[in-house]
Order: sequence, then C-alpha cells, then structure tokens
Amino acid sequence: MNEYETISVALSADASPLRFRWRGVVYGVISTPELWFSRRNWWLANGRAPRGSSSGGELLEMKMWRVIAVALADAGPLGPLDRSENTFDLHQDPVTGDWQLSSTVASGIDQQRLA
Amino acid sequence: MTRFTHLHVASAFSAHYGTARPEELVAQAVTAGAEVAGITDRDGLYGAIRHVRACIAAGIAAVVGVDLALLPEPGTPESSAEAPSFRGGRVTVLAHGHNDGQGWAALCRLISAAHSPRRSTGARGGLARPSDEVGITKKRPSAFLLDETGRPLGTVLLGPDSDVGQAVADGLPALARELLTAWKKTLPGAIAIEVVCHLTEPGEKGSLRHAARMLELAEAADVPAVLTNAVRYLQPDDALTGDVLDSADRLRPLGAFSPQPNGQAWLKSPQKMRELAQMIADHSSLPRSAAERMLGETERLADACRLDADADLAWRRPKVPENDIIGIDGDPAEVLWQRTTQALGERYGTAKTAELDSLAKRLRDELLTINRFGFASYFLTVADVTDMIRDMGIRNQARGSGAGSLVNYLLRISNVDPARHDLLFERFLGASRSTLPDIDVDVESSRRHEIYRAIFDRYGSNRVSLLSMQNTYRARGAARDAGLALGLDEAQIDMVAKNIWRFNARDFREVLAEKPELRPIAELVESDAQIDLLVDLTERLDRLPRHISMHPCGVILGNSNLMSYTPVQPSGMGLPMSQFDKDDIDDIGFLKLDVLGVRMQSSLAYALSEITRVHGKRAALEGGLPVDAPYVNPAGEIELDAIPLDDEETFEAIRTTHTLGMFQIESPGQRELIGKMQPTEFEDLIADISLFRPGPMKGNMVAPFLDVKHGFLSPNYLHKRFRPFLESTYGVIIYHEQVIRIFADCMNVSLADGDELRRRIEKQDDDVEGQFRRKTTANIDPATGERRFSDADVERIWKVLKGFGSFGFCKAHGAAFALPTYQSAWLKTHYPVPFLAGILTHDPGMYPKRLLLTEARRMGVPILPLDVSASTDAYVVEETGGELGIRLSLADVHGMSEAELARILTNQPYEGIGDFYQRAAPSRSLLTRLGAVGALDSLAVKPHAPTPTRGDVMARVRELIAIKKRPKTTDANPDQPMLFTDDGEFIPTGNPEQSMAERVSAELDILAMEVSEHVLESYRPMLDELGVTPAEELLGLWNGSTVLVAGIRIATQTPPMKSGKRVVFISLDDGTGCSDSTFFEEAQNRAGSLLFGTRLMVIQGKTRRTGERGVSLEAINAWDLKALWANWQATKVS
Repeated sequence: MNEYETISVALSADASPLRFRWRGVVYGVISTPELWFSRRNWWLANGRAPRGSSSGGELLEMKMWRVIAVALADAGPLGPLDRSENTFDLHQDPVTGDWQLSSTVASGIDQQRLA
Repeated sequence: MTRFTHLHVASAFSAHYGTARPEELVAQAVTAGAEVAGITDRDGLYGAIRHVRACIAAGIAAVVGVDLALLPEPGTPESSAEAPSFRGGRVTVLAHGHNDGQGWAALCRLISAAHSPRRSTGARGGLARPSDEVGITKKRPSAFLLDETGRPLGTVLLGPDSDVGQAVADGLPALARELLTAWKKTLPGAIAIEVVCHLTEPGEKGSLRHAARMLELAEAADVPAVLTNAVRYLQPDDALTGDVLDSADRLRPLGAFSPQPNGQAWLKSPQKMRELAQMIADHSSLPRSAAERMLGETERLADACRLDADADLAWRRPKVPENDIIGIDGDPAEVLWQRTTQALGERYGTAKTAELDSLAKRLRDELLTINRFGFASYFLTVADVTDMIRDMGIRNQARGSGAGSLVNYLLRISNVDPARHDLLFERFLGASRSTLPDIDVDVESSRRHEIYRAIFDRYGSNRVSLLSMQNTYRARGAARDAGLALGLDEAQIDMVAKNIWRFNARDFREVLAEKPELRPIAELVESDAQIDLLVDLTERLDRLPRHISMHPCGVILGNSNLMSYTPVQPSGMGLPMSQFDKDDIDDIGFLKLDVLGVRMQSSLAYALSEITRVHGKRAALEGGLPVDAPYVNPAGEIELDAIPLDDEETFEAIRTTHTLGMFQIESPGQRELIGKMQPTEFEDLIADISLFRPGPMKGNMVAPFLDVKHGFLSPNYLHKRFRPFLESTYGVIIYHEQVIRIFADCMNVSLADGDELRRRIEKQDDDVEGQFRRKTTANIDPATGERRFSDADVERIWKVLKGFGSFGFCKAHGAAFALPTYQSAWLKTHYPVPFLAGILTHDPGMYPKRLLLTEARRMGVPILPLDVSASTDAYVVEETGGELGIRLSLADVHGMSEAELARILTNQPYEGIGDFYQRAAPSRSLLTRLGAVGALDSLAVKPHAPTPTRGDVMARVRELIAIKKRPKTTDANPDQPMLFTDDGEFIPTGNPEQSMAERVSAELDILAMEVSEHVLESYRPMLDELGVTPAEELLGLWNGSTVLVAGIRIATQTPPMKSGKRVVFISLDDGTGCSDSTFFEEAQNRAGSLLFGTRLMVIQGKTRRTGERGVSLEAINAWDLKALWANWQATKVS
C-alpha cells in the first residue's frame, strides 16, 4: 500500500511508538523502533523552495519509525486475526502532528484487511 | 566541547555534487569546536588549497583526501550467482601528514593516475577519460600509498559505496569479509572501514542496520572503523540543492532517476555524531564501548592525517624550474645582473650619461629587491619563455604591473619603457610581497596552443601544467539546469534563460520585480507555480562550480617535483592541466605565467605580413612613411614595436572617433570619451584607458582632466613639489604610481613603503591617516630647516588622497594596453586595407564582422566578393583596378566543415561549377549556399557572352545537385562529361537576376554580414517616409533636436552609474556610422522587452552634444524595425 492512513499512536518514554490502532485493531510494537528518514518529491508539492525554506529538512524528508508489531486483540465482527509479526512504517506529520501508517513491509496483512 | 572530526566531506568543488564552499564548511566545523577539518572532494583536490588556507586562517589542522570511483578490474568476469561481480563504487583516500610531503605527493600522483587514460583502453592518447572512467581499480593505490619500507602514506576508507560496503548491503557477509581481507593484504595498515549512518531505510546502504553490520565486520576483521557522515552539504536545507545538482549531473529531470535517499548528509555537530555512534553500537551485537572505540579511531586517523602546511606542502614557497633547465650556469642572481647590465647599453644606447646613471641606479635597486626575495631565477625563467616565443616569430607584449619593471624591459619581457613613462617597479614588486609576482604576456591568439606545446617541450611535462579554472553557475546556466530538473519544456526554459544574464542568479526574484524587460517572466511566475519554483532553484544554484576547464591563458611552471604537489588531468587540448586554479597557485608556490591569446596581436601580425606581401620594398612609400624609416626594412617588414609613438597623423585619425578596430578605444563609451578628450600624445592614450573604468567615470575625474587639457582651467598640482609627476595628467591623480609618489614625497619614505600605504588606504585602513599626518608634518628640508608641508598642505593633500580611494589604476597596466592601441591606430592610419584585412580575419573587437565591413565601405575600400577560386581561409588584400581591396574569406561561410574548407583550398582554382562540385566535393547544401552568395559567379562566366545572372548560376546549381550520385574524381563516367570540364556552356540562361534585398538577406544568413549593401537599405522607402536621420548627420544638428534614427544593433551596455540607477546604452549602425542612444528609466519602461532582444530598431531621441566630436541621443522611445515595416507595407497595400 502507498496511501497514508491516519492512525492513533501511543508513545513510549523516548517518544518512539509503543502501540497503535489501525482500522480498529490495536497493534503492539515488539521490536526496538528503528528511526529512519524517507524522502518525498518536494518539487511536486506545488509550493516554493527558496533558500532556507527546508532548514529542518522538512521539505525533503519524512521521519519514519520502522517497527515490528502484532495485533493485540481481535477486531470483533471480522473474526479472528492473523497474530503473526508484521513490519510497519509509522510517520508523524510535523505540521498537524497526526500519525500515519505509511507502509507495511509485509503485504499479507494488507490483503487480509482489505479482503 | 566534544571533538569529532569529519573526514569525508565533499565541498562545492565536487561539481554537481557538493553544495558548500570549503570556507563555509571550515567555518562551521570551527564553530562546533573542531581542531581538525577534512576535505575529500570527488575526483580531485579542486577545493583542497582553499580548505588548507581556511584551516590555517582558523588555526586548525587540515586533512585532505579524495573521493574516487572504484572501477572494476579490466576483464572482470560477468557476475555469478554466489559472487555478484563488483558494479563499481567509490572509496575515499586520505593523505597522511607530517611525512615531508610524501603523503601529499602520493595523493596527488594517485589522483593524476585516476585521470590518465587507462592503459587497457589503449590508443586514446592524451585525451580526457570520459567522466565515468575516472577512478582507480583496487590494485592501484598500493603503488602510491606505501613507501619503500611498507609504511603507509595514506589511508583508504572503505565506506558504504565500496565493494565491501555493497557486499554488506547485499547481505553477503562472507563475501564482504573476503573482500576486506584482500584490501588488508594489498594495503597493510592503510585501510579503515568507514561507517556511515544516514538513517536511510532499514537494510539499505547508510541505514542504521547497515552501519552496525559494517562496524561488526571491522571489529571481526580487526580493521579500524571510523565514523563519517559522507558529507555533501552544510545544512539540511541544502539537500534540495543537492537534488537539483543530481539532476544536472544525470541530465534527467527530478523523478526520472533514483534520487539521494534522504537529506542527512550535512555537516552534523560533534554531539549529533556521537549520538549516531551510540545508536549504531546499540543496533549492533557489540558492546556499547564499540561506539567510543569507533570515535577514538576516527580521531586517531584524523591526527595521522593532519597536514603540516610548511613541511608537507611547502606552503607559499616558490618552486621554479632548476637552473640548468632555463640554461643558466652558476648563481641566478649573478646571471640576472650580467644580462640586465648588458641590455642597458642595448636598450638605451642613445641616452645621455646622467640618464644612464639614474637607470643604472634604478636597475641596482630593482635587482636588490629581486634578490632579497630570491626571485632571480623566476625572472630568468619568464625571460626564457618570452625569448622562446619571440624566436618562434610570435608577437608578444607583457601586460599589467610587470611593465613597471626596468628588469622586465631589459629582459625584453616587456616593450614599454618604464623610465620614459614614469612607471614604478615598486608597484609591481613591493617590499612585503613573499609570493611570486604575476607577469602576464599577451601573444597572438591564433598561435597560443603552439606556444603551450613549445613550453611543455622545453621544460618537460614533469615541470609544466596548464592552469585550470572552475566554471560556476551564472544566471542562464542555473535557470537551464533548474528548468531541466523540473522537467519544463525546452521552449519555456529557453524563454527564461535567454532573457536573464545581466544580474546574479542569487537576486533573481528581487530583479524580476525591477526590470522592465523581465516583465513577461514576472507575469509567468505569477501564473505558473513551476516557473515560480524555477526562480527559487535558479537562486540556489548560483555560483556553484559546474565543471573545470582549461584556464584561457595560465601555464604553471614548477620544478621537476611539480607532479608531487598538484594532481593533473587531461585538458581539452590534451595537455595535462592542474586541478588548481589561479587562486590556489600563490599558496602552492608555483610560477604562473599568463600567456594570453589576444586576437588583436594576431590581427596586427596578419596586417604586417600582408603589408610585406603586397608592398614589399615599396612598403614605406605606400604607407606614407619616410623612405628611410628605421623601423621598416628593405623587404618591407615593419618592426611595429619600434614605430615612433608621436605620429601626428595617427592621433588625428584617433580624434575623428572613427576608432572602429582600434584596440580598447572602439566601444561606444570610448568613442564618446575620445571625442571629448581629443588625444594628442601617447600619455593621453594611457590616461584615456586608465580613466575609462567605472570608478573614475563615476567619480568624474574626467572633467578636470579635460578642462585643463583644453585650457579652460589651469592645473592644480596640490603642491608644487608634485608637479613633475602630475603634469602628464594635468594635475589629476589617475595612477597608483602617482599616489605612491605622493606618499613617498610627503612622508619621506621609500617608494616601496609608499606602495604599501597605497594598498592600505585602498583597504580603508584608518591607521594610514595618523601616520601620514605625523610623518608629513615632521618632513623637514635639511637645507632650510623648514617644514616641507604646512598644516594646510597636509590637510589638502590628505583630503585628496582619501577621496582617491579605489579609483586609481596601475599606470604600467595602462601603458602596456596603450601600446597595441596606438599600434592598431597607426596601422589603420597608414595601411588601412591590410589593417582591415587583419581585423576581419582575426575578429579582435567587440563588434560583429558585418560592422567591420560597413567600416571598410565607409572608408571606400573595395570589397571583393567571395569566390571559390580566389578566396582563402583569410581576408586577403588584393589589387583591383589600381587600388587595394579585400577579398572575402571562405572561413565565414556558415556550416562549412573544416574538411570541406581544406578541400576547396587544395583544389583551387576551378574551371567551372561542375568542376568545383566534383573536385572540392562540397555538400549539396554548401554548394547552394556558396552559389547564393555569389561565390560561384566567376566560374559561370563564358567568354564573349553576356555575364550570367545569379538566377542562371542557381539554376546550374540545382541541376548539379539533382544528379543522384556525384561521380568521384576517380570515376570516369562518360555519361556525365559536363562534370569534368569547364561547364560554361552548360549554364542555363534567361533566369532573373536576384534582387538586392534577396542578396543581402542571403548574405546575412550565410555569411552573417551583408556584402552587397547595408541591411538597412532594404527598408529605405519607409525610413525616408519616416524622415529618419542618418548617423553621420547627427553631429551637425542643434543640441536638443528630436530625431529618429534606425539601424542594426551593434552594442548594448549597462555601465554602472553614479546614481546607482540602471542606464542602458544602445548603439545602432546604419551604414553611415553609429548612433549611440541612452535609455533612462522612463524610456526603458517604454521600450520594455525591446531593450535587449531586438536587432533592427528605430529609436526616437533628443540629441545631446558631449564634446567637440561627440553626440549621443537621449532615447524617448524605441520600436522594432521589422514590425514597423510589416505595418507600413500593410498600409501600402490597402
């Protein structure tokens, strides 16, 4: 999946993700979250880019957390869930503060949810 | 503060990669508390000297290295499943320091090897490698980086892009270990694993995981691991600029290639780097202490690589060719003394004893200074080069302050007599100079490369290299590359790029709001977000280095160790070129010789050879010279450097302001100044050239000069003691030399001290005033015991000195320039036809050739048409009907290849058009073009028959090119006999003659100049109806008359003005002369986009007299002549 979906996230003491809720299911992070920076095609953003406008790297970069997480509880009506470990990239929008799920590395879970 | 040394840093001199200048990077490192700072530009040491200089200035140690491509071994087999073949990558090589330059030399030589053509690819000769072939194979460094005892002279950093790093990223730990072991074996003690963590996507190169695996690998293999940030920019913000540079490098728009993974490659603080180290260790299987160990190794390596500028680089110490190489035996100081003393008699044979005594004293003083610095061999080397140039029969002339030295005059490095023009040695070589002074030599441009090759032959390629220069982004190039990055279409990029070139790209947005001619772009910016973004990106690229190229004139001479101090790479002409530019040379201590190709010198040489060829022993007579003129020999050869400098006819010609083709004084502004000044002697020309600069023009130093010269005012010498050296400029201080003399005289100090004070006052050093007042007040005449300067004198003189500021000009420079000015004026006066042939052939000036032809027509010189049987690759003087004319050159025919030109010349003359077509074998389109400009007319003439029309000629051309297969000379094809012989009989008849307008249009298209008549004549009926005034009649009008002028644009200038407001000067040529119009703000607004683009114009303006022979127009409005013509014709039809 490439679309970003807004999720709610609970943080640990060091401000990295601990738990998150995605499409009604709560996932628990079971790995040490790995910080990484992704990039975006800033030239398509229809804005300007004068010198100094990305002084925090914000025009080009997205701060990501790579986590391995498992579903902590069943979603209910949809029945039992795959409780296997999956890899997720979480991203917090620097402007709105909203958290987004930007990708799942293993796509199996994706298909399961969208089926 | 915690210390962290960045060992892998690309500056902006890593073209199309880095974004920050070395000075900025050093400054930021120093702010963060660095003791050592590194630079490792891609493929070379392009930013290294600047880096070392900045480090010295900041009081920290410099580390220098290079980031080189790692090339696969030639003949590497294709990849197999278990061992993917190495795809190529990069490594960083750092020089170790404090080893008497061995590390630096190893680095230089390794880089040169990386650029020299690969042996395996063989026959490419001296040409540059394509950029993707610059680099080293794994086996290469060991020959350079280990000394004979096996001690390392440098360290190779194996980072994420190395073969080892890629194997780790590919998840092949066994292969990685194997590769690392191989490196260890070839370079024992000279490798380190470079751990880089750019926090890229987990698993990718530069990710936390990858960095951790690299650290683990190093620990396991017992190889030191160092942490770097593989820096390519200063701040996170620069990452955007990095994207645009990547696009320019790949010639692909953003989005069409795989971009940098993120923007983490900035110069992070020690704190941030330490945090990264900890994160890496935490992600590894190693104990936390691994982080500290890695940071410790980083600093250990940094310390091993600290360069000692003095011991390792011989910083600022002259390195010049050895004595035997420049053919001297014994002490250079002794040899220089002997040579110059002997030359004194030759150069000043006729001087009186008193004069000779003072010259001898001056010579002694100069030699003392030269020897004190140990520069004797430097002067002898330069003299050796200029002797060689002269022996090659090539004109040369020293330029710049070097002309102020008697030693240079005696060694014939310069041809301007410093004593006669009161030029000062001290301005050239003052007391405080410690680096080699510059001596620049102007030579014939067309033979410059010949000279370079001769210098390489004479001194050996281990001592000689060409100088390079960094080409940086200017507005146009920046807009083009920014446009490419954004994927804008060609037409749009063109539209923007073509219109922006008179300002810094950095100010693009600001300028958009101000300049009327940019209005269309400003509107586009408003409506189109992409163009809006283009402006930002263009500003970002401004002034970044784009690529390195051969400096137009610099040659570097050193001792036999040159290649241990500078890396070289092949230049465009094949000869090796240093990676250092002119700003680096002083510090690295090489001798830089500027051998500047000057087209005017070629023009003069050509004119002189034509005079000798055409006139022979009648040369003096034909030139209106005394028959016994000592500077003309019996064969008609003129020694131009010996002509008298007071020829009245020449000055009279200059005063008419018909100065087109005269060196330095042909521009519209100069014509105006010459018109006002009306020079009468050589000193006036020196003054003219020195005054025609923004400072003096703004400071209105011209007016008092002219008022005194023309007798309206009496001269004010400031003090009667100054009269001897202020008289030649009518009391106005124009030259540095005069300021030096004033300081020396007032303060009773040496001329060298005077020059030092001059330099300081130009830097607005406040200290000078106190010293000046104190010493000048204390200056007592020992004869009378009185003060030489009263308080009022001191006040008055100081005020003038202070106001003088940066207006001054080095008189030696002006005098060296004035010589070719005078020589060209002299030739134009006495030998106009050979002179015009010279400037038409070598095109030395600012004007298009079509204007030179207009000038020839104005002077009544017959122009002989292009003729494939008679024309050559130059403009040749030919006798026609008892007078001299100029035969047009084939070199200016558009779209002719060199091979075609060579074939035409070898096979001349031709019997017919078919004969020409067959033997010279021009392309079909070239044959058509030659026919269209009349170059085939002479071949179509039949005896006893009417001359064929151009239409007939073109009909024959069409017949010929319609034949499918052109027979080769060797194909005897009996079916087409007409191709072999004189085809006069085959010329069709009855075709109409070309109209004049058609001819002119063809000539402009094909030759870029009109031959038959002036281009404006095609518009004559409309111009007459409008009542347009010919340029030659402007001088006769009342001041303030409103007129219309028309013409073809020949010059556009926007000189800096006192008010700071922009003024645009446009000069039009209408065949009778030039009209110069000045556009102030309001007129600029009216003219809008016409200001810079339109070629054929009509301008309305008010006449303004500027002097006895000067008139210009204050523009009111302007129109596009072609647009007017279209309207006018439309009204005629209806």
